Amino acid sequence: MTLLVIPFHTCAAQAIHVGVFNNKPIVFQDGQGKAQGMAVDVLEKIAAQEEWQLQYRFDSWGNLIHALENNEIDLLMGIAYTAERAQKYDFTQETLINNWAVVMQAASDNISSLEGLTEKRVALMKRSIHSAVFVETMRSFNFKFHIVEVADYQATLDAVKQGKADAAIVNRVYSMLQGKSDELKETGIIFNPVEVRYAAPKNVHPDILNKLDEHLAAAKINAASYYYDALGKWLGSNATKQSYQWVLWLIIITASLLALVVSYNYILANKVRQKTAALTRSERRYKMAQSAAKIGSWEWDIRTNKLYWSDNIAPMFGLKSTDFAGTYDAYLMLLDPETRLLVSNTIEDTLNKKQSYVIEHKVTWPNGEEHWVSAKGEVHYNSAGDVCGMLGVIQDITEQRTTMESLKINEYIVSASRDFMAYIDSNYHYKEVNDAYLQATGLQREEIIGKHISTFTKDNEYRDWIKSNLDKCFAGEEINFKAWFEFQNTGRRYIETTYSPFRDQTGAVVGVVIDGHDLTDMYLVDATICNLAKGSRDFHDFIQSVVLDLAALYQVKYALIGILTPDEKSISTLAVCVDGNIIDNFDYQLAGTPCADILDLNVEFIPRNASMLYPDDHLLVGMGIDSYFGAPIQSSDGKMLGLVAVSDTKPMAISEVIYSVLSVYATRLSIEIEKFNALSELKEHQNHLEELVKERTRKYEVINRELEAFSYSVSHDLRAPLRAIDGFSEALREDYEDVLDATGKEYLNRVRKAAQHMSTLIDDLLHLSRVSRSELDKHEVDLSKMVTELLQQRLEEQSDRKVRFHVEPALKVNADKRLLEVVINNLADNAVKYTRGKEETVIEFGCERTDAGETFYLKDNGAGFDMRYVEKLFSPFQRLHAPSEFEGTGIGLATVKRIITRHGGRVWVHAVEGKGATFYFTL
Amino acid sequence: MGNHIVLVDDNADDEMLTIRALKKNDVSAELIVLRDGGEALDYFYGTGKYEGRALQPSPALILLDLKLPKINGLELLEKLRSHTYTRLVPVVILTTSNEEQDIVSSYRLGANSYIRKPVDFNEFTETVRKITEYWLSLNFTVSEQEK
Repeated sequence: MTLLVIPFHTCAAQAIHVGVFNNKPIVFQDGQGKAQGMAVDVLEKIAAQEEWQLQYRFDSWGNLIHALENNEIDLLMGIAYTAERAQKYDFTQETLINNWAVVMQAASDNISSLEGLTEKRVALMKRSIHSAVFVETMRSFNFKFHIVEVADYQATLDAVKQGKADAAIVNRVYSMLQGKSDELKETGIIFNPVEVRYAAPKNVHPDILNKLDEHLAAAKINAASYYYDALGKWLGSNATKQSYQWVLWLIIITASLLALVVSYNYILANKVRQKTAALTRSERRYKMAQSAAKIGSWEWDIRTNKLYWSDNIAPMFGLKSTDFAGTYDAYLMLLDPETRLLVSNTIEDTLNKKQSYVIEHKVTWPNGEEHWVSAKGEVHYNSAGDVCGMLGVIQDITEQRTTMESLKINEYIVSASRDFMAYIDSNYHYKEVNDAYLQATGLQREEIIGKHISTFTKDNEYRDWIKSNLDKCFAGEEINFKAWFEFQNTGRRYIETTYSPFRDQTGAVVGVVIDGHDLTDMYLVDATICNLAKGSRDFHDFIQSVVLDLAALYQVKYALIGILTPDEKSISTLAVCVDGNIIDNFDYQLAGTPCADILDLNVEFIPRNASMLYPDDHLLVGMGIDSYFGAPIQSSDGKMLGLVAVSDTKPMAISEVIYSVLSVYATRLSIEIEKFNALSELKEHQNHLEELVKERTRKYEVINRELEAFSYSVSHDLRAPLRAIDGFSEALREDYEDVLDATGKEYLNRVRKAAQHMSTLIDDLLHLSRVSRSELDKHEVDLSKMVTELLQQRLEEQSDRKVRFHVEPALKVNADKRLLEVVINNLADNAVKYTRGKEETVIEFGCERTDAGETFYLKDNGAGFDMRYVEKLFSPFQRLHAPSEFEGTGIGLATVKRIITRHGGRVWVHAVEGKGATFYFTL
Repeated sequence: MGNHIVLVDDNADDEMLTIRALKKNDVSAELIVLRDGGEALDYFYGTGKYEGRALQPSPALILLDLKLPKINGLELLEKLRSHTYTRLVPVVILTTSNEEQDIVSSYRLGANSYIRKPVDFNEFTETVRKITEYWLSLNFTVSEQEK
C-alpha cells in the first residue's frame, strides 16, 4: 500500500493527458502542484499496472470539460455521469464513487428545505451538474433565488463564510471533508445523486476506459485492494460504503489503517487476509442464502441519493439489474402510487425518528404480475452520529403471501364454518377445535385443548360411536356416520360426523380431523314434514300433532293453531301446546297482539323482546313470551282463516331451513282447515239428508203399509162382491131358467162377463202394485231360453194359427227372473194378440248392440198402431184398441215399463199401423 | 174323525155360494159355518158360546178364509195346529188373496192346501168339487184312535 504517486515515465508508452480540477477529495492539485485525490490514486495504481504514462493538466472544471469535448485531454477524473453527458463523452461503466449534492448554510442560519432557499443567495460552481440540477429543481417548484456563481466548490463555501451567499451547493464528498467547520452546517437538503466516473472524449479511448473498468471491477470486489485503500485514505472511516458490506469494509479499512500504523506488520496483515477470506466466504454463503430465500440487500446513501441493490433485488421487481437506475426515486417510481406513498412515508418517518422499519408492499411488475416484497431497513449513521443513509433487505414474499393467504383463507373457512371441526391426536386428545365446536360444547378453547375426547362426551356416545370409529380412522379409514349427540349448549343434536385420517409425510396417520355437520334441523324438518304429509284421518288429532311437532321442531315452549272468529276480532284456538302437552283451547282478542300483525303482514318473526313490543298483549306478557314466530293460514281464495304460531320465553334462533317450514305448515293447515270446514258442512248436509231420507222412508213405509193393506183389501174385498155378482147371476140363471127369457139370460151373461173383466182388472192392478213393491232379485237369466219357452207356450195355445218366430240364441242378462217373465209374457201376449188377424204371424226376438249397451227387441207383424198415440201406450188403463177389437186391461205395458224402469233400463216402441210393432228395451 | 166340514168365512155371500157349490157337487157332509176367528176359536176350544161343546169328533175338513174379523185366518190356523183335536185336521185355505206372503205364511203354519176363490161361479163350483173329492174321498186322514 503506497501513498506515493509517481508518473511512470520509465515505461515507453503513450502519454495520457488527464484533466485535474479542484474537487477535493476526489481530485485536486495540492500545494506542491501535484495531482491528488481518490480518483488520482486509483488511476495511478491502474496506470502503473498498465504502464501508462500520465500527464496532468490542471485547470478549472469549466475549462476541462470544454477540453474534453474538444479532445484536448484524453481523460477527465471525478466527473459525474449523466445520460446527457454520455451523449458527448465516453464514461467508464464502473463508478468510482457515488456522490450527491448537499446544500450548506452558515451555522447561524436555519434553512431546512428547498422552499427555505426562496429569495436566498445560493453559491453555485460554474458548469457543475449539481448546479444545473439545482437551478432546474428550484425552477420546477417556482422558488426564486439568487445565483452566486463561483469557479469551484471551495469558492461556494467561502462565499457563505464571507457572507456573500446564504447557501452553497457542494457534493457530499466535498462537504464531508471540507464543509465541516464552525461557520458552516448542512441544511439537510440533498439532491441529485450522481455516479462519479472517469470520462474520455467520444469514441477516442475505449481501450483506456475498458482497462479502467476491468481494474475497477476487480479492485471493488477485493476488500484489500488499492481501491479501498484510496477510499479509506481520502474519505476516511466516514466514507459511505458501497453495497451492504459497509461493516465489512469498515473492518477492512480499520484493519488496513491499523496495518499501516504498525508498519506492514506481516502477522497482522496475514490475519487481515485470513479474516477477509473468512468474511468473503461468509459473504458468499450469505449471498447463496439470499438467493435461496429470495432476499436481497440494499443500501441507500442519502448524500448521493444512490440506492444500491444486490443483484437479486431487481428480479423481485420484474427487472434486470441493469434496468434499475439505482436511485431512491427510481425505486419509488417502480411502485404503484398508493404503495409509493406508503413506502415514502414509512421511510421518511423512519429517517425522522432514526429507527428501523419493516414493511410489506405490493410490487407490480412491468408485465402486470402482482408480487409482494417485505422490505426492512434501518437508519445508519456516520461516526459523528449523523444520518448518512439506510441499510436493509428486501425479500420476495409473494409465495409465502400466497401460501399465507390460502392458509389464512383456510383458517377463516375453518373458523367460520358452522360445522364443528376438531383435530384429535393419536392419544385421542384435542389438538385444535374451531369456533363452532366451542359454541356447541359451550367450552373455552383452553378447557378443551389437550383433553381426551371422552372428557366431553356421554359414556354411551363414546362407547357406541366415537371410540370404535376413531380406532378405525387411525387405522386409515375415512369414517362417516350419523348419530344423536348431547351438547352442553344446544342439547340433543343429530350430527353427521366425518373422521378423516391426517397423515404425516411418511403416510402414517398421526391425527384425525373431525367434522360434525348438524343435521338436526333437517332431520326434524324431515320428520315433521313426513308427519305433515301423512296427515291424519281425524282433523283434531292432526291439528294437535302439528302443534306438538312444531314445538319440537322450533324447540319452544308454546305452539298454537287458531282460527279467526267470524267477527274477525279474536282467535279461537284449535290446538295449543305448552311444554310439549296439549292444553284446553281458548279464545283471545286479536287487538294489540303479534297475531293481529300476522293477519296483516304474512310471516312475523320476533326473535326477542316480544313482550316489550306488544305491551298491550296481556296474555303474551303474562306468559312471559320473549320470542314469537307466526304465519297466517290463508284459504285457497286468499281469505284469512287463522294462524299458526310458536313462541318462547327466551329468544329464538331459527335456521333458514326451519324458517320456511312454518309457511309450509300454514299452507298445509289451510288445506286441512278448508277440508275440515267443507267436511263439516257436508256432514251437516248429510245429516240433514239422512234425516230427510229417514223421514221420507218413514212416510214411504207408512204409505207402503197402507198400500199393502189397500192391495190386500182390494184383492179380498173388491173381488168378493164380484164373486157374489157372478155366483148369484149364475144361480139366478140356473134356478130361474123358466122365468127368464132369452134377453134376461143375455143380461145375466153380461153381468157375469163384466164381473169377470173387473176381476181381471183387479188382478192386473195388483200385479202392477206388486211389481212396484217387491225387491229386485237379480241373477243371470237366459233371456233367449225364456222368450223361446214363453212363445212356444203361446204357440201351443194358438195351435190353429200359423205362427213363425225367431229368437236370437244365447242372450243372457242380469235381472229379476220372475219380473222379467212378466215383461216377456206381456210382450209375447201382445205380439200374439195383435197378430191375430194376420195370415201368418211372424215374431222376432233379438238384440242390437251399441256403445251404450244391448238393446233387446220383440218385433211382430201385427196390427201396429198410430205412433201419434205412442205416449199413451205405457200408461195404466190406456188402450189404443177397442176391447171389441182386442181385449185387454191397459195395464200390461204399464207393468212392463215399471219393471224395466226398476231394472234401470228403458222401454220404447216403434210401430206402423197395420204393419206391426217393435218393442225395444234395455236392462 | 167326524164327517162334517167347518167353513170359517165372514162373508155371507161366499157362504151361500159355497153351500150351493157343495150342493151342486152332491156333498152330503154337514157344513158348520163360523163367522169370525173369535167364534171359530170358541168353537174349537169349547169356550164362549160353545162352552161345553163336545170337541170330538173333529171335522173332516176345515175351509178357512184368511181375512176374518177379530182373529184372522193365519192366527186361527196357528191355534188349530197347536190344539190337540185339530192338530191333524186338514185345513184348506180358501181365500181371495193370492199374495205370496199369505201363501208362504199359510203353508208355514201348517195349511194343507191353499186355494184362491175364482170369481167365475162355474169355476168356483168346480174348485169346490175338486176340494171335497180330494180331501173327503181320495185323501186318507189320521184316524181318531191314532191321534
